[in-house]
Amino acid sequence: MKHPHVVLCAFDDWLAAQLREIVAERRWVLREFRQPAAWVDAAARRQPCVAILQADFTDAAANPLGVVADLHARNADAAVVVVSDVKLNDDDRPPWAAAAADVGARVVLFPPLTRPVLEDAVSGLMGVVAGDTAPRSEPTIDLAAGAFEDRV
Amino acid sequence: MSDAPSPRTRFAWRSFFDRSESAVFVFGGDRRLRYANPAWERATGLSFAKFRGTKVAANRRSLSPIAPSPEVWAGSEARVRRAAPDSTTGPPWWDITFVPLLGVDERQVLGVIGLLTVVGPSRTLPRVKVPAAVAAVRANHAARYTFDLLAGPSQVSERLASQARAAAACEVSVWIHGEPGTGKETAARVIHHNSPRRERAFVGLPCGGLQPYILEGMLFGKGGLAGTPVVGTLYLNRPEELPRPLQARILGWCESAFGPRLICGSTTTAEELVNSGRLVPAFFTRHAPIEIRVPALRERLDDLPLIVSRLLPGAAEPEAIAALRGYHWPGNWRELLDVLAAADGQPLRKDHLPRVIRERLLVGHTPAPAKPTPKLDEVLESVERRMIAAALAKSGGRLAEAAEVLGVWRARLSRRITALRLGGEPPSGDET
Repeated sequence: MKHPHVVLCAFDDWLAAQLREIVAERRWVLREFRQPAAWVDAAARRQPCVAILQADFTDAAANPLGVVADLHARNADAAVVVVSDVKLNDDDRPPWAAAAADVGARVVLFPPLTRPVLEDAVSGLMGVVAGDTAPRSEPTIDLAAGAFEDRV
Repeated sequence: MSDAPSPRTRFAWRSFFDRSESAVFVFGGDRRLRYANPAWERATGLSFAKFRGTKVAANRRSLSPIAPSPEVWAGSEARVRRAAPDSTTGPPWWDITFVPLLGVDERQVLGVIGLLTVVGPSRTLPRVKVPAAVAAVRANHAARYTFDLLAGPSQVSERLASQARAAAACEVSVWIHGEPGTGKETAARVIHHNSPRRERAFVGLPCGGLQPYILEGMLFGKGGLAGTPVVGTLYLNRPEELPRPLQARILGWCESAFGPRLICGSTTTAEELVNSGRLVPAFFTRHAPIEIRVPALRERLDDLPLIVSRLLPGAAEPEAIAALRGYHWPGNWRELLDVLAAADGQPLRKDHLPRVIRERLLVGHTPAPAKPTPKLDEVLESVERRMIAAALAKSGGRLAEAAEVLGVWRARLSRRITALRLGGEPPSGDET
């Protein structure tokens, strides 16, 4: 199914509540999960998808970056947004954001998070993944490009 | 009957709020400040006596940070975070909860009560360092990006892999171009994870989709990536979509001492984008010394058996492979992955394929030409135009010299230049 999906894994309903309005307005499908494994399975399907993961970076057992890496390995086209559930020092944010991006996250958001920022991030990424992927080829004539310039 | 006041009138609500350490303020229905307690004065540094009765308005800068938003005046509660005055982005911030006081019919707002708390810089937060386990996750993830991902039996794939090897061996910027869905970011990741910068992170940004302020915040905001040397390679997907000031700012970061290596991906070359004015010139002059073209999937049909065997277990049906080879793949890799997803992890069979691909096999289609066949006159004119332009460029615009290079008379060359409308005005022969 090629309908755009927003696939969300969060600890509570707050993130879903922030997204409901734009999801309804754009006629996307919002799917909510509590278990990261189920979230990965849903986001790994071949469909235009923005996958949002609420992450507690202080919880080593949860291994949120391992979850993101798993999803990126299965579907690199899914646009992953990691939303940190904990406030971090200014010094701690870059290593976490860079590590998340390294394993496939497109955007990493830290508190304080506002609804407009979340909506802009999700709608922007949805425009990328659900946009026109057909090549914009033009009938060009590429005859031995560079061959005769070298001769003359 | 006793004349004693009712319990409601006896309650000294003003002294009650005055004693509170929570900053409380009240606007009347006429939008004028009616009350603020001493805690509010301490938190905001403003004097209630000075602003008593002042009407709040967006253009009155002293009170605008505590102005209720329009939905509050419409009767809804709201919680907002605003930068404190003298700070454009905070910290400190003011977290304000607005509660409208509704009238009997719930349409009229009699006033607004505000509760303000000051949120300071988060310097007291405990450190949350990236644990060693994350390094293992990153290493496992990086191990997938080998040159084998790009290589294949076809000539164009071998060329791509060898170009990627050359790019990985050095640290200069790279410009990757190719049709959508050909795997430009995969090529960028392969280069990064096999380069001397692989210990640092690969950060890929989709410039075409995200609002510039989000990208700017991620890179240059408080706690942004540009503040520390953690980024090894910055991959910009379609950098021409960024505003030019942000393009220049990113280039400035990449050229700084601890800046990342820049790899850009687009559907066309940096030179074309610079010439069309969509990209600042430095992208071409300083940041595209290595240019890699990722071939479309229809150019590497010989790789299909290898690709299918990598993605799906078992041996694929020869007819299925033949059908895949007969298709022209306008969506490239992305489309191929969509098609292979139908096999659901099973060996590929013909009936896994969509009808549009199966039908080509039934009618014995050979790969369909994606481009219309060019007409002879168009081809000849194009060749003539490019040869004349190259000869003129080489001779510095001197017509006689260019004619000699091309082996034609000067007069004929002049006629052809006029006919082909090359260079606007016909060149004069005086220079000869």
